[in-house]
Amino acid sequence: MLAVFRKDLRIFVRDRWAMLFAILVPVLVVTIIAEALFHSDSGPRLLVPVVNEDGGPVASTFMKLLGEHAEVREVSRDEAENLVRDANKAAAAIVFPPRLSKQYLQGRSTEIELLTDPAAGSDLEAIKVLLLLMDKDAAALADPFSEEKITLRERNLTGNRLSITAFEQNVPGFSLMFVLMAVIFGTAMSMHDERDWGTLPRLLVAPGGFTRLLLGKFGARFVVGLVQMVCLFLWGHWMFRVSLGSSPWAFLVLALAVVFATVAAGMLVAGLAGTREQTLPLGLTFVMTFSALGGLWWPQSIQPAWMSRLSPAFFTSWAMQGLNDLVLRDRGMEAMTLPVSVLLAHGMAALALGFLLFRQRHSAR
Amino acid sequence: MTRAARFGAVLLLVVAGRATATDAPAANGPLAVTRQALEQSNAIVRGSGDRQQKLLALRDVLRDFLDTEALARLAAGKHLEGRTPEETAEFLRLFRELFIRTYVQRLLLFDAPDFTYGEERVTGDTATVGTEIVTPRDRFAVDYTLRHTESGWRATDILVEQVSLAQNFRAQFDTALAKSSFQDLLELLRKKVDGAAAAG
Repeated sequence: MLAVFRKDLRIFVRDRWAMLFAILVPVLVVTIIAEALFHSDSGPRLLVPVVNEDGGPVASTFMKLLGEHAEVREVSRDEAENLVRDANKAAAAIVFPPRLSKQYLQGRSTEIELLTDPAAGSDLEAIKVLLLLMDKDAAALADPFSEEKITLRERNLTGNRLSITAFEQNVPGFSLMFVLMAVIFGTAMSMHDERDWGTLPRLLVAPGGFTRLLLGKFGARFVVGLVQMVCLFLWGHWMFRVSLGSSPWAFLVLALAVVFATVAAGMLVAGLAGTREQTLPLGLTFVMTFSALGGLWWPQSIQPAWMSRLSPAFFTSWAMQGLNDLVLRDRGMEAMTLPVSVLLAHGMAALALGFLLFRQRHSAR
Repeated sequence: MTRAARFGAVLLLVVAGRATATDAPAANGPLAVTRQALEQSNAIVRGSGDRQQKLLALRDVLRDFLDTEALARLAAGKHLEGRTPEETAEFLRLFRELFIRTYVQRLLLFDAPDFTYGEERVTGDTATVGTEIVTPRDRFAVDYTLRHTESGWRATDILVEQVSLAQNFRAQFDTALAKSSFQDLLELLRKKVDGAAAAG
């Protein structure tokens, strides 16, 4: 027993990179999660575009009250719609209608229009809470007897639905994480398996050479990953009524791009890892970091500013952007251009680097 | 001078006197009283001091200007009928605090209000004075109904954009009393007044 114990310890200590990653991964993941969820830096303030068609004292008071908790920006209706619908920089815009002040001062209820992006989820809820607070504060300021002076009328700028389910907010991110896990580990480990099984030298002398060998393995993992992703999303659609968007072709194109970038990330892990043992902690680092910073676990808006600045460098951010556009905003192929292009670019870069590293590390052995 | 001529001369003097009163409002007439209250309020709103200090100063000005008892009776309508003197006194006290606070808070919504004054219309011992609050993008009509009392002209209702604040309160009292008792209403008013005092 003691001999087995010593042997296993010796093997573990011998692979210093595996040992380092085994310690580094939990430290890195815990730090990212803690920073994202419990950071003291409050990050950028919630942007609330306001269309002030009233121009009176009540709208001014409302804007002052909102400004205590959010970044209020007075804009035209077109600008507000652009910030919410096209740029996705704000979860909602508030329209203070003409005669708001007059009706408010008369003690009459007024309808305030809320132009929303339901895909923004928690940010949209935060804006609604701010509006409730604003109404309450304003009522306390202006009319201590009647406290309901505004009613909200929501208009979804990015789709047909006024609300989205918790499943729709969470299932795509977690599905993507499992695709990431399966594909990155599968790809990286299969590359090293060939060496450990002793089949790599034989494959290397087979016609076609090293690059074809890598491309063949890449292709196989790509197909497996695509099937995994499609199955997971179909399950989410069937089980949790998660929308797959209005265009199946758009979903397919996005899935192809996402899986391409993911398999390429697996290739990169394979290239970085010197041994099969190293692929586990290294792959885990990739999966956890890319999930956290890509917004697969939580909305990116809750992250601290430094994390949000880093996020676009991770392909998962773009995958989530594409998925959100499809699932939550009912957008079609036209919205896929940017995320798919970036995913392909990320994939190409990771693939090239992964091939290069793997070739350098293993072709000579 | 014949009797008819003397009567004519007296009538002329009376008419001339009335015309003078309409053309040039008296120094302590309804328009002057309203103007004085609003100018004092304006000075307070525009002046230094925090919100709490302004609230207190405005309350003092408006206590003299507003006839809150008349306002309270107008707002309560039939709901004061059959109440004990203690209940009525309590309602009047609470309403006074609430109404003044409501009016003051609405006035404070305007950062730097400019007032313009229309004409006064006097009918017996009641009068109306039209005013406007002018902001850079809009004008808000605020008309005051006044009644002549022993202590001079005092406002018995305020119409913001043709909607009476007293009637507004009345509608709310009607709604509240349709669902609960007068005691409940007093309790609600007490909470509002105490809550407002605590919040400043």
